[in-house]
Amino acid sequence: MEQSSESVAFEAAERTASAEQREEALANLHLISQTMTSTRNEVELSGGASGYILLGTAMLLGFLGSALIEGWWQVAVWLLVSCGVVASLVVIRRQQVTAISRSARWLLGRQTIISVAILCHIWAILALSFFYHAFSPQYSLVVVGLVFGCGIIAEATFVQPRRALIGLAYIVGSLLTLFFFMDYQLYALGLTFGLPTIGFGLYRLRKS
Amino acid sequence: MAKVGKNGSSDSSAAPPPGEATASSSAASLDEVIHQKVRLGIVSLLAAMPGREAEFGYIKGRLALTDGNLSTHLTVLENNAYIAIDKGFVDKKPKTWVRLTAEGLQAFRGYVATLEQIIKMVD
Repeated sequence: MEQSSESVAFEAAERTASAEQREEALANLHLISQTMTSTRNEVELSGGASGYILLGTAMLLGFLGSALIEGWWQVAVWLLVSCGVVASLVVIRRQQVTAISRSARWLLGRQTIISVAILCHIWAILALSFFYHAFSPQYSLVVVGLVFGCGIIAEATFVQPRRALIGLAYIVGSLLTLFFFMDYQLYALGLTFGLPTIGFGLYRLRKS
Repeated sequence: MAKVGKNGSSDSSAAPPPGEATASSSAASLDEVIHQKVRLGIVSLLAAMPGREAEFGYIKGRLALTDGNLSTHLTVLENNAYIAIDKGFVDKKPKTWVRLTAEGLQAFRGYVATLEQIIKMVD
């Protein structure tokens, strides 16, 4: 009888200890998850504000410049914009990540990859429209705009919900090119691509 | 909690018989070097960094530690070969880089696996 009550007490103590250990294990896993997620986000998004403002301004200037200046001068506008974006992104990225980790300086980061991909896409359209007049750039813009837009929205659901605005802007912009492929198409693209991106950058800048 | 060695082996004499692993026995096999809260934070942070490396000042700021406190915990981790410390200069300013070693990463993964095991056992 005595042995039995000892056994019950032992089991109760064991259960209490197990519950405490479970709580501690959960708390530690939460700490690990929180630390790792916030670190990854910080490294990934370091320089995010200035990068987004830069990309938004580039889109705005590039498309509005293309609308105002016709012909071969469009190349000069996009050349200037592209060089400015790439050079600034490299400088921003290197300065910010070197302060955190030596290895991070070689990382491109999703934002840089997206920016460079957008510029490459614009250059491809320019080249095709100049050298192959039968090509219709609006369909290419729609496809890439939708892909970028959906990608950014998907990423935003995990990283930063407000980034979804940029994704929406790309989708709206690409659809505009499909439905309103007219003279003011470049103005519409400049505004829908550029302004939300600048707005997001300013939001991040204010938050930081 | 029973003291454990570097590899997570327990020196507890009350080990359960084979096939009867309990949450207590799993908890006993937790790596004490990593189990300490600050060191757990340091190792988690390093595991999430590109190249598994971070600058001393960055770790200090992220975990809100003092120089002395961080140095003490880094020494413990370094003595167990979980991290490697490298000193250098950037723009003529002295910098200390802390890198998670392969052993440290393995220990960290083992620690997380043990935590998950504890939760499953109690459930």
